[in-house]
Amino acid sequence: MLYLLIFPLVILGFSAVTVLLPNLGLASRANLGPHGLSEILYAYTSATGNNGSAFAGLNANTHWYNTTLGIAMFIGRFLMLIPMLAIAGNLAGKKSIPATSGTFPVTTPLFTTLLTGVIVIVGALTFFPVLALGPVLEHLLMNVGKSY
Amino acid sequence: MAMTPNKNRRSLFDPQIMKRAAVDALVKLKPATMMRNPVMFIVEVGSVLTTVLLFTDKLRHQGHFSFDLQITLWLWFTVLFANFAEAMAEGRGKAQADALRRAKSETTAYIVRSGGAVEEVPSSQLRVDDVVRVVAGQMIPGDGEVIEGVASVDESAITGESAPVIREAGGDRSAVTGGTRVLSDVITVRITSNPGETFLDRMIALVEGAERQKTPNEIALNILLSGLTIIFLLAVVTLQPFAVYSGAKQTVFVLISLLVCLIPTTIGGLLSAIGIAGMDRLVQHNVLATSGRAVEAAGDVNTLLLDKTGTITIGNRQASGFIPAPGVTAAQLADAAQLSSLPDETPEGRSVVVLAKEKYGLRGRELAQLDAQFIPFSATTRMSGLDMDGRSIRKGAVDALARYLQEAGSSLPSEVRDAVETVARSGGTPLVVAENGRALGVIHLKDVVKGGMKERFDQLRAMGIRTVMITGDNPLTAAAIAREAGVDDFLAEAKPKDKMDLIKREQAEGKLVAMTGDGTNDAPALAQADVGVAMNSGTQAAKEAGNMVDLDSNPTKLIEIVAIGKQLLMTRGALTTFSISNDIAKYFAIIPAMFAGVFPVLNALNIMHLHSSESAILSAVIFNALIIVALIPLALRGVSYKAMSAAALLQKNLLVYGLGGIIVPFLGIKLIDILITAIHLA
Repeated sequence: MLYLLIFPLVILGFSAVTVLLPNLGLASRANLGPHGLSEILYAYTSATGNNGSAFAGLNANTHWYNTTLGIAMFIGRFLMLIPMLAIAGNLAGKKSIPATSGTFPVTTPLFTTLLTGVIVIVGALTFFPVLALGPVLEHLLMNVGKSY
Repeated sequence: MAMTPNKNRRSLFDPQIMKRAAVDALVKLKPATMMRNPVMFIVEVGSVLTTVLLFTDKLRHQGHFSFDLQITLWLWFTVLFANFAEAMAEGRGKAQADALRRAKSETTAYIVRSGGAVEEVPSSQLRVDDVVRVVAGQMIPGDGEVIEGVASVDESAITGESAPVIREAGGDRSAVTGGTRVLSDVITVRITSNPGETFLDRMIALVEGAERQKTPNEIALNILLSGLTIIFLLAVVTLQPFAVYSGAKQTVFVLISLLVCLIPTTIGGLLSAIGIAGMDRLVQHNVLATSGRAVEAAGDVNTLLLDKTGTITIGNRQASGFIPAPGVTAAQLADAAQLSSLPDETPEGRSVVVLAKEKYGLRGRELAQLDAQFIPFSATTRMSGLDMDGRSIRKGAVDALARYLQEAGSSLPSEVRDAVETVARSGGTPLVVAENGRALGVIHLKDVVKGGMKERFDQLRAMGIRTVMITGDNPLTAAAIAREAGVDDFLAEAKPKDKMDLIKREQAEGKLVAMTGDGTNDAPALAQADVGVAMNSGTQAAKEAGNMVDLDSNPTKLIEIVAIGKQLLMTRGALTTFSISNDIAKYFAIIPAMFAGVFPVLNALNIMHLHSSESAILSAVIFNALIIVALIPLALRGVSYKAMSAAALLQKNLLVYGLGGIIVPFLGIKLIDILITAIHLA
């Protein structure tokens, strides 16, 4: 649970603070409007996920971005490990139970669909609102011929 | 699995229960009570916040009063509906408790003092080990054990079953319950519980839910729901900065609406109702569980231990023939068999006496005139018999008698061994009779498997549950009956310790074990098993060791108990899935509504074509509140359950509650939107 919490906390938290800071945060954007929001959101998502890429246009080489992206990267890498290790430890300590027809088989398309579904839905539900204001809105605006 | 509706069944929407539940729902608004349910607590905090804002805005002439008022009201309704669901479930238990309390009225007890004098005292003054006499027509004043006499007792106050039951001294039918009525004869009862601790008292506390604690499974689900709530809280709190950035600042009313719609209120509101309803369903099947934990464990059971006698076979084995040893006449054997069975009050013992009379014209003899000493059956020697003027007669299982003969310096003749084998292979139970160290022959006891058991075991196998038959019979007999009944495995020549070892072995493999029992020697195993169902007719020790009591004393009911446990777990899972998949539609209703004012292009996401921003948000909040009410019957009744494998069940339920959970709110929100637009609420 902690594991699931860290990701949105870091990404949404930092992005939200950043968009509220006109000098430190917003000044780095190359574009206004939804596109600018996407740039900021992408920076934190990428850093937390330890992907390391950046959205062209955002000048991340400032004190604010270097510090906060660094922290996001640190949390995204190391704090995520702790709950994961705890889960592994917990599982290792459990007794193994022989499979019966009452056990749920994990090698079927059903399980794959279920697992994928849970990941997608939990992820989508967490980030849908901000995505709607960023990339989705931008796409829709572009369709009507407005860009930033 | 057929769940036969019980006579105790109450209509789901009993007006009296509904009335009481409505009041309780208001009482439950107390923050201290709400804190126990984090999801609904958040909704309550949100409701308080919007209420305060509603008034300050009104004073400052800000905001859109009509819309804000409606949102606030519906938020409160959401909390109230959830409380109502819980109160409904509890109310059904309370109604049951009231019925029980009526049985608990004060009665007069007739204490028998050591000198034999009888004294009248109120039942509330009885203490453990007092001896009372109860005659026909009187109420038994407290829980106890019959120490003298036989009587028919009306236990309908406890079991709802109107047919009287026989209670007699000695054996496993000696326990009586306070508040039940003696219909015939006189019994002397030794009281086994102090006032306030009786079975009836505990039962009232249980069905009222006073002792209810959250089960491990409920706690785990609560953590998951709280986690999701925090995620959504984050998503909504951070949305405001993004909204401000985009130039579309939102009001607190809209943000709280979004939050309440997103957090899993449906399952959060119904969670405790589902748990209470599970207990209630057990009560309707006349089973009392001491904890909700036991009900859940029942749903996860992997191995069922079933006693052969009374569960798989019709309780009473009947003697069907005498097979004498060489050099012994059938009449001699019948005579010895009859003598040894005279003091034996078990149905088997009686059937031997009956057969001896029918076939060889041997009349029943009065034990008192014979000057005989009765050797009762014990679990260690596994023989019974009697000693009288130079004759020492023993009867029992083959291996027990073989040992006995060996100690006496003789052995079983091979003809007797053959006869034993023949009887055993036919599924019967051989009893060897010996007199003065000489084997006389074999009594053939016939065992009859109950109808429909094979189908039930097939269903259990489909659910992934292994059935193990426990019997004191030898392996040959056990195998024949196991085959006939269709159980997966059997434990033959089982002593109480073997049963215990089997349970421990299964548990060491990580399995959950359920069993039934009624005797005092079952008590340790009942305590060790994950689900221990004691028969109400059983001894006090057995009832205290188990975590469930079956008031009908029907061991086959274990199968229904498992089904109820599974249904409880599935209902919880189904509603959680439904609750979370509901969020998709709510996003499509609320997000475009929030921002379409500033960015009209976002209306492309308004795929339901809701009338206006306000109607969209209001519809989502109303749907969110009403779905709790709509699902109360499902939470109380449980999702339908059929015996099939876990994968097949999951697939079916995902289709119904997962996919349904995505589609239903789209339709529901659209419908509410049309309605409120039509009556100009938004």
